[in-house]
Order: sequence, then structure tokens, then C-alpha cells
Amino acid sequence: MAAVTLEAVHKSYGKNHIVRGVSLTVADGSFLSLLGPSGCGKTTTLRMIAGLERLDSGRIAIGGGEVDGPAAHVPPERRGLGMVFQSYAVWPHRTVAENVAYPLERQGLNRSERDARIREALAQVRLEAFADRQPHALSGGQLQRVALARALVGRPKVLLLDEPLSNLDAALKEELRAEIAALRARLGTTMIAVTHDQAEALALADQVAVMRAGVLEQVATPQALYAEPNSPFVAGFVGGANVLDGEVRGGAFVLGGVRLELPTAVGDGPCTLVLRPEDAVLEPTGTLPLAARLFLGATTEYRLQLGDVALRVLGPPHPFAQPGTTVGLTLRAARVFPRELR
Amino acid sequence: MKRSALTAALLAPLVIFALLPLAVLVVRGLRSPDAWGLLVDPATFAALRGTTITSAGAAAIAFGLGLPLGLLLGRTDLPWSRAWRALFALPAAVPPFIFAMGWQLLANPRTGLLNTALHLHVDIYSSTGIAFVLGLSALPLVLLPTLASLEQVDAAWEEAARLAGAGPWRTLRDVALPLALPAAGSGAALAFLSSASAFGVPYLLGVTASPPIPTLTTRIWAQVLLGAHGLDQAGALALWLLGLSTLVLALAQRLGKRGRVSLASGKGARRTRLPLGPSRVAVSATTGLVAFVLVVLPLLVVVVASLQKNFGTFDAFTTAHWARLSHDTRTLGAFGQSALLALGTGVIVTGAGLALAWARSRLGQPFGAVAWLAAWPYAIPGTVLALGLILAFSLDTRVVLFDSVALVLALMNTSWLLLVAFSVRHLALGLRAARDGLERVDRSLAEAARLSGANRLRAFLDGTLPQLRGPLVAGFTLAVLASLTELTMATLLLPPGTDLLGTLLFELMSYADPAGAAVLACAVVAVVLLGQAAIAAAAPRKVAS
Amino acid sequence: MRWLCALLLLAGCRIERVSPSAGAAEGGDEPQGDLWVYTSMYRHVVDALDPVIAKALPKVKVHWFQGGSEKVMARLEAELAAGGTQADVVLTSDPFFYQRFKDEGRWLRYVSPNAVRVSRQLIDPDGAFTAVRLSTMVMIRGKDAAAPESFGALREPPFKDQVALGDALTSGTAFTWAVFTESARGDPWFRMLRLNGARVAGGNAAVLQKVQSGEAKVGVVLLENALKAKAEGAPIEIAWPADGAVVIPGDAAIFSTTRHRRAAEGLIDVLLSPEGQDVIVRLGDMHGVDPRAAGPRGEPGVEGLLVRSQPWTEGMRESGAQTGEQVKRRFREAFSQ
Ligand SMILES: Nc1ncnc2c1ncn2[C@@H]1O[C@H](COP(=O)(O)OP(=O)(O)OP(=O)(O)O)[C@@H](O)[C@H]1O
Ligand SMILES: [Mg+2]
Repeated sequence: MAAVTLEAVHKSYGKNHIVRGVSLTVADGSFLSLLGPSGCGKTTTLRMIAGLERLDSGRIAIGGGEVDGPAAHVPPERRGLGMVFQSYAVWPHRTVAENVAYPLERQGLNRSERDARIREALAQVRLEAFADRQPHALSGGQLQRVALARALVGRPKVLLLDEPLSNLDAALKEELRAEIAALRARLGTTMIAVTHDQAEALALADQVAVMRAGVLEQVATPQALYAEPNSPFVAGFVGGANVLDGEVRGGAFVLGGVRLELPTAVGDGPCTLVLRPEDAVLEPTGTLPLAARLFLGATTEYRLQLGDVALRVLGPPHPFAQPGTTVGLTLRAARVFPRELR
Repeated sequence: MKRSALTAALLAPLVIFALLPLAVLVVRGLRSPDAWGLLVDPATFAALRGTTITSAGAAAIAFGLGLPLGLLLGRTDLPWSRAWRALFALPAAVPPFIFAMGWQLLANPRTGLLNTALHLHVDIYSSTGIAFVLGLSALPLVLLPTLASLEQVDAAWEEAARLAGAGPWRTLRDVALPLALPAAGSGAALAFLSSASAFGVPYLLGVTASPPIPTLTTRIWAQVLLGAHGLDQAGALALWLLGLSTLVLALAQRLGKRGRVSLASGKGARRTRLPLGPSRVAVSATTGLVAFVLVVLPLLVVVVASLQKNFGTFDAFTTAHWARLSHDTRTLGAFGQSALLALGTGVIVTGAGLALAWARSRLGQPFGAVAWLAAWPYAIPGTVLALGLILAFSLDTRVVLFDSVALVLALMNTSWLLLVAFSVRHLALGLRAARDGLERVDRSLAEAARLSGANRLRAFLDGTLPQLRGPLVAGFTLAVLASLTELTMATLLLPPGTDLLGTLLFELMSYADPAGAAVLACAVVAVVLLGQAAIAAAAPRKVAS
Repeated sequence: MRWLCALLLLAGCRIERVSPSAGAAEGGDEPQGDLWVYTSMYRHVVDALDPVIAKALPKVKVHWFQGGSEKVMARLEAELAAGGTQADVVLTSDPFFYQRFKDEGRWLRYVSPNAVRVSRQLIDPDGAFTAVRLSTMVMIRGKDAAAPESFGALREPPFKDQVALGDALTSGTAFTWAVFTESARGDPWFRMLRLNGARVAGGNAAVLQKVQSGEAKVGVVLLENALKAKAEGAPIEIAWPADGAVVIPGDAAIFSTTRHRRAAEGLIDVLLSPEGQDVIVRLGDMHGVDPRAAGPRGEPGVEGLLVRSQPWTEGMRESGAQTGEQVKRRFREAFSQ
């Protein structure tokens, strides 16, 4: 239906440069997850796509036509979008059904069509029974689902989701993710979702964009991002990898007097080591103090002490590894970045 | 519509009807002989001082009473809060000079009932007395907006404070109070303006003080009466009031900046009432006492006095004054006319205030200055505004079509001019209400509507406007009540053959019939109370905020 | 939106067409047309005058603007400043205002044939204005209070802290009283009143109320207010000052800009006619100017009144109109001590 393209988009509030030269293409019908730490400019980016903020420079196109740029500014209501706001923005003066009905009213649908669509949307977010409730009598998660239903009921070309599932329990999240995926499959809606939940990002998205202080660090498929993070930041943010500043000396990473043999050859010098918790194996013998052991269900997490830095390792429940003892460590895979990149 | 066209459409009526009359007056004033000497005359400074003291006192009293009352009525489980609310809003409907009359009977130094019966020594003929009466009259200006803004506060914020270890009083102080401050503060600024522009009360109480307390309004009127250049010079004197009002608004704006937060954000606000616990009875009793002494007692005295043969003494009972008035057919007509005019004013003021506030938040300049400009007509005496309107509009504007048909825009001696006068005067009330409300509504509510396909205007109407109900109703109520019994402008601009409550009141007062005036004022109060009760009964009791 | 504005604007407009019948100039001798009268006469007096006027001038339609003398003057000033007034006739009680406008050349000269009996001191020698009614400043006292003999006695010890006066700065009648009494007693008069504890109290209604309620024992107030209050049972007595009451003529004058001269003259004739005078005396509680009319509520008629009051001289009007500002300033300064 509609691809979304951002070209060198720039936005500042006063002296604060919030979004700095973001370029991005979201293919028609694909799903982009926008990841990044709090305050990095994700919401601002979505708002610019929606037309709620004017750009300082750059251009945005939706479905091939320029909607924002030096030449044009298409107002939000004519961009054919749906959006779930981070603050929900559920109108307190309208019931749940009336909230959901609104986009259809604007599209000029007649009552019977509208009712069917509202029922469908409420069913998708599992709120059929709440149609006549006032918003002040809903839980946080229910409000969020009203916002979601309202965003998708109008069958927009592009759906912008600002943390649409953050307030839901794991099971409900799973169900709604499936609903969203089904919807996308059925209608071919292009989706851009901000999320803090990596599992969500990696599971749903065709592409993941990692943002940091207003700049896109990397845009890639989930697999590529996971396998080939192009910076310690991306690796640390996406895989939950350990990011350690140290030095390579003679094929080993040295930090706090501890040497860790690297699986691949790297030249000597100061560097940043990125090590995924699942890429290291505990050995019964060694000199690293084990500070803690956490049961996570499928796996167990170990906290090792490397000088004064902590290191997370995931593995099976080794009987030998008890807090207070010392263990050894073998690296199966690791990435080393020159220090400056950080 | 293009932006510039919109700006022009919004500004044109304001400029033509509100600023032109003032500008004409002021320009003439500054060009009149000896205007500058008059502006810095010692007598002018004495009047400026009198106005500043009494108005600041009035604003302080209205603020000091209105804010705590607002918190009590809006956020606690104080019983009968609707009834209290109606009662404390009453001073907005009663012409201030009726209150002054009541307090005169209660607290004049020689025969005041409080002084003779309770052996107190209060003297209503003093700056404090004037400030007190003006402050009470201005109480609704603070109370109603405060209540409206508190309606939008989510209970979760108070609950968070309770969990953090704050008791109910502490919670009121730390959470609700700061959130109510901006509305109460701008209300206090309006209280200052309305007091500074008041004529009746400072006149009734101020000239009798010993020595008399001069105020700018009494001085301006005295200047008008000098004839010849007096009118022009009065326009120059009004400059002081304009300056004072701008200063006060700037101050209020500065103080109010900190507390402006968006309350209606679309996460659903629950309202619970903070339980007062064991102090509930004591607090109710205190509220009752305050209401009785400040609102009921002065009106009661006026009612009782109107039932006396001889107004001002309390010995011979008669219903003659009431009977006389109820026979007068003009009274009924005046009620109808006044109600119509007041409602019209309320609608215009609310609508225009909303439009300007919206333009201010969306279009930016030049609407930033509009708040000041719109307050000017409210800050000068009604007489001056009325004279300005006469100056600006007494000549017909004639547009001749095809050499044979003339469209004559003749405002003078029509009810339209009264409507214009009342609307222009009370525009500040509508604008304040709308601004206070708009600033508290999260913009995402309108944005969600735009993404649903609504254009700018539509999104405002569907997403934002419904959240403004409370503040707008408060502003509307204040404007209607104030217009209902307005008498200064009414007497000067009344078209022939029309009667208004204000002009009847003025006539009764000047025809040495204070009892008749009292009766009429009481009748107005009764009608207002009935009206409020009817509205309360008709309006669905919405749990939602 | 734009159309709505235009519509609203149109709604406020009057549409005029040029046709031979409309706005024809006065023809013949019969007074006719729309007459605008600005007056301070009480509304019920105006209402009672309407049928009398309608009978005498059937083709004249009178539009009244009715308010206090001060308001009428303020409105006139504003309209004149804006370029012109639509008023044809003014009937207020502010002698200095009439003098001032005469000096500015605003009045049409007219002496009504009905004024033949009226005392010459009540008619402008040049015929610019004629009194049609007389208000009178007298003293009133509470029932149990001592009667002051004269205005001069108000500064004497027996009346210390007991006197209420009208505000000369804002009440026209109080101002006229102040001009008269000061010219009789000289510069320190206001200060002596003030030293004797006299209080200022707004207009006549306020003074009356203060005496009625006992807040003050003695007051200076309009006779018509006192008569009416007394008739309604107020515990007050009227005290005629030995040094002469102050008569305030309620003048009638015609603007020279009038387009309905005959109608305006006819109106003044009606006011001076026995029927007109009767309404003024009976319903207005004031004196007429026709010596044949009785006084209000059993008081002697105009001749008796003039004996009991200080005479109006032309010089008085002149000096009041020219030095009024200084009188007001002295009044203000004396009472702000
Ligand atoms: N209206 C504004 N004026 C000034 N600064 C703003 C404004 N809106 C946002 N910011 C700033 O811009 C930055 C980016 O904000 P944005 O809302 O886009 O963050 P985000 O990535 O969505 O964060 P989060 O994950 O916490 O929602 C923040 O530092 C914020 O403080
Ligand atoms: Mg965000």
C-alpha cells in the first residue's frame, strides 16, 4: 500500500537537536521496529511521520508522494495514518465504542458499516465487553487497547505504534502481536512501531532501526542486527551483550588483570569487547569470582567479577558454579571494536 | 482559510469594538490641554494609591478565600458541595453596590447592626471596608475557575502523595493546591481588574470615609462631570488603569507559569474525594459560618431592610415595597430583556474567548498580546467604556449601493450596542477561562483526532473542546451573571423604550428608593438561584470528569 | 464562516431607500417628526407626560433618553465630541451646564408663549433656555434631632459629627448647593464644615438614607426626595434654612442643530402648559414654574418658594460655569484633610 521514506530529516526544539539527519525507508507492507534508549527521539520521529511536527529540514514521503519537505506539508488527517499514542490520548468524553468509532465517522461510513467495524476492532483487542464503558473506568492496559483499536479500525495505509503493548501481560501481548501480524498479512499495512521490548522488536519486525541521541545507529533485519551489530552500542542495546573496555594483548582481552583468550585473532591495542551472555561457557576451574547465580527458567544467569566490572553469562545450571567460588571462562564468539568508535 | 485571513477575521472585531473606543478616548485624552499635568497631579496619585490599595486588598481577599474554598469544595468529601458552590457564586449575580448597602447597614460606625448589637468597632467606610466588599464580590472570579481546573486533576496524583506519607491536608497542600494555583491566580488578577474598574462600591463607601478615599474611577467620573475638556481628560486618566491592568496581568502570568501542566491527557482521570475524616464536621461548620457571614448575612439584612417601612431602621414591618414592585409590569419586561442580553453576552464572550485562546495557542503572534488587550475594557470603568463606544459609534456608518439603497450600520440606540458593550467588557472573562482550560488539555487529544481524519478545526471541536466544558461553563456563568445586573453602561447606552434590570436598579437608587432597589436585587438573586437549581436538576450527573 | 460574518453584519444594518415620502422636511405649521429628548426627569413623570404630549402634538413621536443629569451630560459631551448629537431637546437639572452650552452657542433661542407668567429669574434673558420645573436643596433632620436654622448653622457645635452632605464632585445638585453656600460664606466654608465633622455621602439618595437610618442627624438633600420619603413614613422632618434654600432650575433648551424646530418648541410649550406643569408637580414632587400651580404635596407654589430661597442672578450662572472647577477643587481639598 504505502512505503515510508525519510530523507535527512532534522528536528530541533530551540537549541536542542532532537533528530539529526535520519534517513530511512520502510518498504510497502513491511514492519519496522524503532528501538533506542529513552529520550533518543523515537516519539519525535513518529510524530514527524504523522505530520504532527514540522521538519526543520529533510523530506518525508508516504506511498511515493512527498508529504513533508521544502515543498509540501500534508496535514495529518490527509496522510491516511493510524497512530497509537504513547499517552494513549483516549478521549475521556467518549465511551470506548465512541472512541473507536471516530475515525470511521470522519471517513463518512454509515452506521451499520461502522458498527460492524467497531465490533471487529474491539474483538481484535479483546474489548468486546467494554464497548459502553467510560474511559475513566478502564485499566491502563485496557485504555491502551482502546487506543490500538482506534488506530487500526480505519484501516490506515500506515500504522504508527508508540509502545502499543507496553502495559499488557505476557499472554495478552502474545495474542495481540499475533493479531497485528495477521492484520498486516491481511491488509498489507505498513507498520512502524516504537518499542522497548526487544523480543517484540526482533519477533515482529522485518527491519529494526536502532536510534541513539537522534541518530540512526543501524537499520537491519533482526538477524543481521543480532549477528552483525555495527557498534558496541547496538550490540549492547539489542542483544543485551556485555560491553567491556579493555586491551588486546597477544590474542587475549585483558581487563582488571584478567586475561580472556579471544576465539579469533585481533591486533594489539585498546579496544571494546562485545560479548553476548550466551557466547561464553563456564569452566569448573579458573580464577574469576562468581558473584551471583540467577535462575531464569530455561537458562541460568551467572554474574562474574572482572576486576571491578561485572560480566553476565548464560548457560545450563552447572552444579559446580556456586556463588563464592571461582570459575573459568571460554569465549565461543566475541566482537572486538576499536576503542574510538564508542 | 488562509492564516492571514483567519488572523484578520479574529482580530477585526476585537480591534473595532474593543480597541477603537479606547483608542479614541486615549488619543483625545492625550491631546487635551494639560493632560500630562493631570496625569501626575497629586490628587491623581492619591487616587492611584487608593485604587491600588483597595484593589490589591480585594484581590487578596478573593484569592485567600477562593482558593481554600475551591480545594474544599472540589477535592474533599465536604457534604453539600453543590449547594455551597451555588451560594458562593452568588456574589457574581448581585450588583456589588447591593452588598455595599448590606454592609453599610451592618457595619457603619454609628448605627451598624454589628456595631450596636455586638459592640464591635468596625468601620465599613475605610480602605479595608472597600477592599472587603469588593473582594467578596470578586470571590466567584477566583472560586469558579479554581473548581473548574481541579475537576481535571486525576486522583492518582493525590493517591501517590497519600502513599508517600502525606495526610489529607498535606495532600491538598502539596498536590491539589499547586495544580489549582494558575487558575486561582488568574482569577485573582481578574478580581484586581474588576475592583479597579468598580465605581459603585468605592463611591458608596469611599466618599463617606473620613477623609474620603479617592479612587481612579471616582476621580475619572468627577473629571467627566467638569464638562468641556473633562471627558477627554478622563480618557487620559484611564491610562493609569490600563497601565495598572497590564502590570497586574504580566505579574499574574509570570507567577502562573510554573504551575501550568496538562491535566487532561487521555489516560483517563478518576476523581475521588479526599476524605476529611474526623475534621469533616468542624470543616462543614466553618464553611457554613463563612458562607453565612460573608454571603447570606449582608443579603439578609438587605431583604429585612426592604421589608421595613423606613429603609435603614428596623422597627416597622411592611410588604409595601415588595407589593409595589410586583405590580410593575416594567419589572417583568426588564427581567426578560436583561436575561436575553446576558445570555447573548455569555455566548459571545465564551465563543470569542475560545477563538482567541485557540488562535493564541496555534497561531502564536500577534495573539500573544491579545490577552492584554482583551483585558483593557474590563479594567476601565464601565462609564468610560460606554463613553468610548458613544464616541466611536454614535455616527452611523453608511454604505450606499446603486445610488439608491443605503445600508446603514447604526449601532447607537439599538440593543446591539448594549450587546457589544457588555461583550467587550466581559471578554476578559471568556478569554481567561478558555486559556486556563486550553493550557491544561494535552495536545495529543486533538492530534489523535487529526490522525483519525479530522481537520484542524474539527479536531479541536471533537478532541479538545469537550475537555474545556468546566472552565468554559465557569467563564460563561461569570459573564452572564455580571451582565445581568450591569447598570453603568446600561444607563448610558440604553435604547429608548427598553428596560433592563440595571437601569431599573439605578433608577430606584437615584429616585431615593433604596428599598425598591433592594427588593429588585433580591428578586434577581432568587431568580439566579432558581436558574442554577434548574440547571443542576436538568444536567445529567456525570461521573466522568 | 465568512458568509456568517457578512450575514451578522447585515442583520445589524438598517436598509434605507430613497423615496419621496420618507424623511420629507416639515411642511406647513403643524409640528411633526421624531423628537429626541434627553432628560433627567424621573421615568414615571416621563411616562405620565407622554399622553399629554401626544394629545397636544399628535404628529410628533418623542424618543426619551432618560438618566441622571450627570449621565445625560456625559453622553451629550461624548456624542458632540464624536461629531454631533441626535438630541433635539435637553431637560436636566444642571444650570451651569446650560450656561456653558449657551456660551458655546449650542442652543436655539426660544421663549414659549406659555412662559409669560414665569418669573424672569427663571428664564435666560437671551431666551436660550427656560426652567420648566424647580428642584430645591433643603435640610432634613431625624425626628429626634435639633432643627438647624440655616445652612450656616451646619458648621456650629450643636451639629458636630451629625451632618451628611452630597458629594459636590459627582452630584450636580450638591455642586449647585456648594456654589451657592460658598459664595455666600467665602473661602473657609467647606473647611469649617469638615472641621465640624460633616460627612460626604454620594448623591441625594445616599444622604437621605443616612438621615433615615440615623447614621446622620441632619442632611442637605433635594426637597422632592424628602417629601416623598416623608409621605411614605420616614421619620424625618424638613427644615427650611433661614439663609435661603437653593433652587435648582430644571431647564429646557433646544439644540440649534435640531431638524424639528417646531416640534421641539411645541414640546416646551406643553411642558409649560397647565397640564404639563400639573404632571411635573403631582408626580415629580417638585415645584412648577407657573405661579398658578400649587406646590408639591401641599407646599406653597413657586412664588412662596422663591421667597424662601436664594435668588438666581445671571452672574451666578456665569461664575458657576466658569469657576466650577475651582469650587470642586476646594471642596475636594477641604474634605481630604
Ligand atoms: N516539545 C518539546 N520541547 C522540547 N524538547 C522536547 C519536546 N518534546 C520532546 N523533547 C525532547 O526531545 C527528546 C526526544 O523526545 P522523544 O519523545 O522523541 O523521546 P523518545 O525516544 O520517544 O523517548 P521515550 O522512549 O522515553 O518515550 C527528549 O530529550 C525530550 O526531552
Ligand atoms: Mg516516546
